[in-house]
Amino acid sequence: MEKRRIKIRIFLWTVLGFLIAWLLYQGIVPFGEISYTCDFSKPCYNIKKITPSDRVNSENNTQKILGNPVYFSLATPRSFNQANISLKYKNDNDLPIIEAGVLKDKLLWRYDLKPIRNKIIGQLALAWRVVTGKDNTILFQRNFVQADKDIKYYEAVDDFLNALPPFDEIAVYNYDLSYNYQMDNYKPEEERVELINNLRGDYQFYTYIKDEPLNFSFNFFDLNKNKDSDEIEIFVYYNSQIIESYYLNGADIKTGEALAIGNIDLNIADLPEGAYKIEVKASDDIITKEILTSQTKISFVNKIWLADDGRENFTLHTDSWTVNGQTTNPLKLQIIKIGDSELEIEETYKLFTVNSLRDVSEIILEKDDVIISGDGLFALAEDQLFNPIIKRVDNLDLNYEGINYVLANYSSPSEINNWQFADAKFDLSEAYREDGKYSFIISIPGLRADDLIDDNLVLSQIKVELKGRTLWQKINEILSRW
Amino acid sequence: MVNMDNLRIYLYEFFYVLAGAIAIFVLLEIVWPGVVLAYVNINWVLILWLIDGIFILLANRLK
Repeated sequence: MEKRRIKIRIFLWTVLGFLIAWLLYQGIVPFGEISYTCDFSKPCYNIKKITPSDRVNSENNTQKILGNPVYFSLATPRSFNQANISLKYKNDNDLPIIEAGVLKDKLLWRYDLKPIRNKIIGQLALAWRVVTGKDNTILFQRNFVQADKDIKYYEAVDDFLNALPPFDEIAVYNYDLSYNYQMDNYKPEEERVELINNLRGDYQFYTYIKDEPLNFSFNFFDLNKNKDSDEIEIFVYYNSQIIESYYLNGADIKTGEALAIGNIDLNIADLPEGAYKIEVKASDDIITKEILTSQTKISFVNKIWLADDGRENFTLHTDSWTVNGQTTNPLKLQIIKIGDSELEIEETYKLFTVNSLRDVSEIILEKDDVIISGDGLFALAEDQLFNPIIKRVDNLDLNYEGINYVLANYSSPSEINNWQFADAKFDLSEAYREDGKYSFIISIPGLRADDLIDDNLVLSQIKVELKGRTLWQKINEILSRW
Repeated sequence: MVNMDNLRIYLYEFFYVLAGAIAIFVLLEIVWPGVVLAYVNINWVLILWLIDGIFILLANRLK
């Protein structure tokens, strides 16, 4: 009897031992590669629920996405360097653009977006000349019959990169093309003037210099309305590379009393002529009280938030095709004039949108303390507005813009039995990870849950393949530190 | 005819291993969140353990 008891005991504890060893193996991922799949037939631990719930319906083991954007988290037992996300979806409404992205910066909610489907690129493959390069890079060139002038044709992608055509004839998609933007008839000014006062939170802008120093002085205040981190970082970029950075720290307290934090003076001489991007990273608790500069060309990228300063009938200029307005302040509900259109902000915290704008539009705000955002640039005066960004093939009319070349890194989704399959690779080494989770977005521009159109994207499966350091690489790394 | 002594041995040994499993799983979850819950639902292990405990009490009453 006792022998039998011991045999059973050894067997059961051995099974438990193997189970624990397998769990540890799945957690450590000693060979650095693991994959997780969720087909929505039951809740998945690693691939979390798609949110927010008002933009997603669960139906027949699928997730019907009704509004843009939606998010999901990926719980991983350890960090990884690379993720390959595969989606199985049905796009019965022919939604033109579907992208997936991983969160890189939580403060600014910035995602690294990769294509899942781009209808324009798919159509270009049928109508334009196609030259393929390395790593899915494709150069599309407008055909002679479609072009209103003779255009130069390139035989290889490298030829194109070595002798780029004029700036306004190029568009890119999922490709980081470095272009040395130069402006004709630019004259520098010496006098330093106040550009704007009372901007709230983070912002980025482009500026242009030629034979002059890059010259800005920022004065910051802390509203102390919340306990968020009150660090302020300023980065200066030239051709997508950081060339200078600055740092200032406020007190992470919540007293409701605004306090001055200090100044950041940015003065960099001997820089080459061109467009520079300045990024101010700060929480919504931070007010830029004043910006002084001698630069005359300044275009804010995608967003500008004028803080509450009692300003009325404030004018902005934009080249955005879509302009959004939002306010958190119930006293600032208003009708914004955008060119010939009107955008009524009738509720707080809700994003209101106006579409189909062309060229440069004037925006007149009845009151300040409203977040104005869009897919283009914003300036305080029409002569300050300039756009050094190479156009991106998303919400773009190639004929209207006179684009003759499109450089893309894209592969079309495959289709089996009416289901589309597409994947996107992400670099996770700089992705934001909190509580063991990476955050992902699925972006479908134009898809809205609150409109009367019955459109949606049906998602049937998400598969994530992860790659990272092996256990032996990790051990070597630890040993090399000693 | 079920051998009650054998059954009791099985029930006791299952009870011990399930108790050990719960303790180890909880400890692992505290040290490394998600490593167990990604694959094992500890609630079911706990329910199984409780059912086993109830059967042990019943088996002892029938002794």
